[in-house]
Amino acid sequence: MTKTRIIALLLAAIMCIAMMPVSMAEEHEPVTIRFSWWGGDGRHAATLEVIEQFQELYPWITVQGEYGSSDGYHDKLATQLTSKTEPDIMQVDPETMPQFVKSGDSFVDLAAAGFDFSNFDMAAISASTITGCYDGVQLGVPTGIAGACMLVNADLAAEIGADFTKPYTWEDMITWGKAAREKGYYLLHANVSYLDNMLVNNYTKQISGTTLFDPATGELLATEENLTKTYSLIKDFFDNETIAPIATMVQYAGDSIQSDPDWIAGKYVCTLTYISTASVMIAANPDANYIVGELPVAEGALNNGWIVGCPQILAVSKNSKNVDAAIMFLNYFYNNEKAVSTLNTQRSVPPTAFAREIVSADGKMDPILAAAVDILNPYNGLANDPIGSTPRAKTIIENEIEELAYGLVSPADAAAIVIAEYQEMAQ
Amino acid sequence: MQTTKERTGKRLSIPRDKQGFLYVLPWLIGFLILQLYPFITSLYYSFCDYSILSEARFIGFDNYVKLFTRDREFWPAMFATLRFTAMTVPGKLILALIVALLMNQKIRGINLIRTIYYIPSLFGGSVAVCALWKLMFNDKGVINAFLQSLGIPTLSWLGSPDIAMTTICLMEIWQFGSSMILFLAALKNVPQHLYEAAEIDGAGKIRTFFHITIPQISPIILFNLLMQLIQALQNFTSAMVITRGGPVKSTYVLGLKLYMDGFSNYKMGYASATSWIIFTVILFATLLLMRSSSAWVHYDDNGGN
Amino acid sequence: MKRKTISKGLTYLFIVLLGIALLFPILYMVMASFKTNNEIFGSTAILPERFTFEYYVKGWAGNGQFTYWTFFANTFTLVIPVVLLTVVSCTIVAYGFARFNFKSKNVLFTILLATLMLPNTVIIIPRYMLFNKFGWIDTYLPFYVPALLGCYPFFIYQMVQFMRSIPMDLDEAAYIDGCGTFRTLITILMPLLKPAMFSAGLLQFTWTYNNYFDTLIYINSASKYPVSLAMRMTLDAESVVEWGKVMAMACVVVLPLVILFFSAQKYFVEGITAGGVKG
Repeated sequence: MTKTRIIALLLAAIMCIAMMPVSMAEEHEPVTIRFSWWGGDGRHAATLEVIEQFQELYPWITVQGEYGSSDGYHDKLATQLTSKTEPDIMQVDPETMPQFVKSGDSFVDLAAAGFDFSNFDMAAISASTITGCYDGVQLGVPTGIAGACMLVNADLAAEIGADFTKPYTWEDMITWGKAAREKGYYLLHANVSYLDNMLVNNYTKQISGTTLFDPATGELLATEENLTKTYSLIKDFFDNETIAPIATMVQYAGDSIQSDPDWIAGKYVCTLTYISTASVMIAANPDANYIVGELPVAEGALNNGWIVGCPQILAVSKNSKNVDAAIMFLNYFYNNEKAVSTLNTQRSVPPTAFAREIVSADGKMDPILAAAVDILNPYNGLANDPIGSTPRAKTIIENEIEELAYGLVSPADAAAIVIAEYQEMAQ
Repeated sequence: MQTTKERTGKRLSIPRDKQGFLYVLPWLIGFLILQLYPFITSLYYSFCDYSILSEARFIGFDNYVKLFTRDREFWPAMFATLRFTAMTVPGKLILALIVALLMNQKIRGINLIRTIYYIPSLFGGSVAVCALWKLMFNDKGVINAFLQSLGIPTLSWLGSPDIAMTTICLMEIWQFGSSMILFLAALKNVPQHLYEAAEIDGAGKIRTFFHITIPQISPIILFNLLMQLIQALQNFTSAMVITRGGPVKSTYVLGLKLYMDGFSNYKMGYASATSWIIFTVILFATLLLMRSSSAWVHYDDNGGN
Repeated sequence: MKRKTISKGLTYLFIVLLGIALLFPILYMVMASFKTNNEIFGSTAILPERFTFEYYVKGWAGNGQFTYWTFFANTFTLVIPVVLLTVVSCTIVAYGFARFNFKSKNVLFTILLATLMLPNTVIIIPRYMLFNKFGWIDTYLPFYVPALLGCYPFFIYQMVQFMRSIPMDLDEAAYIDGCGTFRTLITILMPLLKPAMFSAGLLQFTWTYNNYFDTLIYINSASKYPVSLAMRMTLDAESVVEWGKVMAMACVVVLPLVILFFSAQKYFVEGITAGGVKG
């Protein structure tokens, strides 16, 4: 008798124990949220690890990672947004996002939804759409700090007598370029899209004090006169061989710039790159001795042009059925020490001082990246306008850079063509 | 006796020719359910101002008018497309036919040789192949190094607007395998006795080729020609990955333009209009080819179609 | 006799030379799979500095969450049904178009060809919306169902062209023998169509296997990625891409196709052996 009683008791006890987690789980319905991003090996691994940490803390939430190459990522995202099948959390390119915001109502107001912005410098990130702020509403959180970085091969710079650590002008670069040619180097490593994003964008802001379009009204602000000056500067760069010939550089267009054998062999004095890609450039020629230089500013500039931006934005879908879980994940992703430490600089230099401290303390902050952020911060130029940052607007500028460099048009022709196309865009 | 009985006894409910419809039915259902809607929508969008996330707004022929009159990219892109087509279609087909003839021989190790010849086509538009092409053909690449070692002047394969298109076409032609396979299958279907008869008549190799081989495989020549033409007029992957349409738009083909309009600038209405222009060009080319085919394509089914 | 040997020798020579030219890029690629980025981009040497299978091992391991075992299993789950369904459905539909004269046949055939003529780009979004309504996103159904319903006009037209080079007399004879139309297709035409069916299957296999864009659009979960997606998973402008690894995986991924071609070729090259004679 006693035996059966003991067994019964034991059974009851086991059942109680077995029931416990069930009743706990009942407080939280199991939830699955989807999170999409693009990236390379390191970013995938770090992000997956953070997802696992999060799931351990909140076992009823499953975060499904949808990750891959940047190639085609936004094609897919656009398709998903059209059909309202986008993931709950998505990584978005800051320059593509305005087109998604303009033409739809797809993203959640993160502050209202409960995302904890206390670690962020709100004045900085609410300055422009590039850092996710649209009409005063934060629709996205920057994943890191991006912006221009003058990456200098210190030994070559010393050899040609160029000092990048003091303020200098674009014309100084032409002078240094001549010295570099005498030694068999080129001064600046840049392809057409870099010339556009770095030179045209900033030089135009510097000489005109305005962006290409009015950020608020979309009105065209760029003038033919100023653009002619900009294109003349580019022509001078090519004519004086400050940069490599166009026929060489088109072979390393866009993001394949680091595969130029001359860069690998250390035959360029400097490159104007992004903070988020500086490590890619360094990896292509790791033996050189690099420093970060100041950024070129035109003489008598009305605005220095250079800005702190961000490489990607994380946004939450308005169609998400689990906005709360998504926000919980984002809070973990940005504001948890362990998460921040795991992610380190996989999405460029972290966007918050809180995270930068942790990453530095871990010894994971690349000194070059840290220096680049320190140098860029004080510039504080005019934020780019959303229309001028669209791929279409950039393509128009870049087409004319190419035509100019191949000698098919004059600087004045190029400026006239751009203005004509922009007038059509502004309508 | 028995045969007549079977013929009258069984499945006579549907006349034979009408049974054809039953065989076609799966495709028809698939077409109506899966293909018709996207087709019609894209036609409608071509008359709309439509940037994917917003509502489409009907604007009549504006997209078409803009394309034909105000778009600086349109006519150069059309020209680039025609150039691409004019180089790749004959290049691919002639190489495919020559190789298929070679591969059709009974020589030692032919199975292995066939496989080796087909390997390039197995990669498709793989990123690795595109990266490789850029690598091999750049100014300091292995191709120029090779030319130099032979004392031949080097070329700027990707940097010169005059040559870049050829470089891209070379990659397309290099992947001639799908046409080659179909030619090979067709060559195997040529009845041996026709060749034997030709030999008895004392016809030479070249005569046999033009009087027996070509007519016998002409349905597949037509098929390959048509498919390569359609494919070439739409193709843009190599131009996108290898040269990004450059330098100075020399490889900016229409397919690439409409892709950029649609998925980079999100002007789906405008891209749809470009699509339907390409559609019309292809349709026109197809009709011409089909019309001409009665003169040179030889069918064995007594005009079944 | 002597002339024949010389011409055969010349043929061989031509085959070998052309083969080397065609295969050179592939050879270069295999070599690149042993090289570091700086070796690949910084020098024109064909041979690598060292032969190490490091990139193969690293590449195969995938991303930490899934290895290439998963990606290959997914690929075959996706590709094999698509190929079988395509070959069967397209042969049946082609039979309808090639051998019968029903009403509106020419109109339907024109529509069939027309579906090939519209560039894919603008159809992507409406088609995605449709498949989404059916609940097919993140499954392989957007690939299976079109194959089942013969929505591959390319292969239908190809089969039509092959059927049309088979004399109609064969069908007539079968009908006289009391065969129904379906039995005629199975017993008379199919054996003769073997080369055509195998070439269609092989092409469909290769294309579906390499299809990047459609798999990218329709498949969300990394657990369902086929190799075409997996191969590009680590390509990113902001990260250092190890091209040796990309090349290594490209070589590995193409291997099943090479084996498939090598073993399948006899079916369309040997063609009709037993009994099948035309004309």
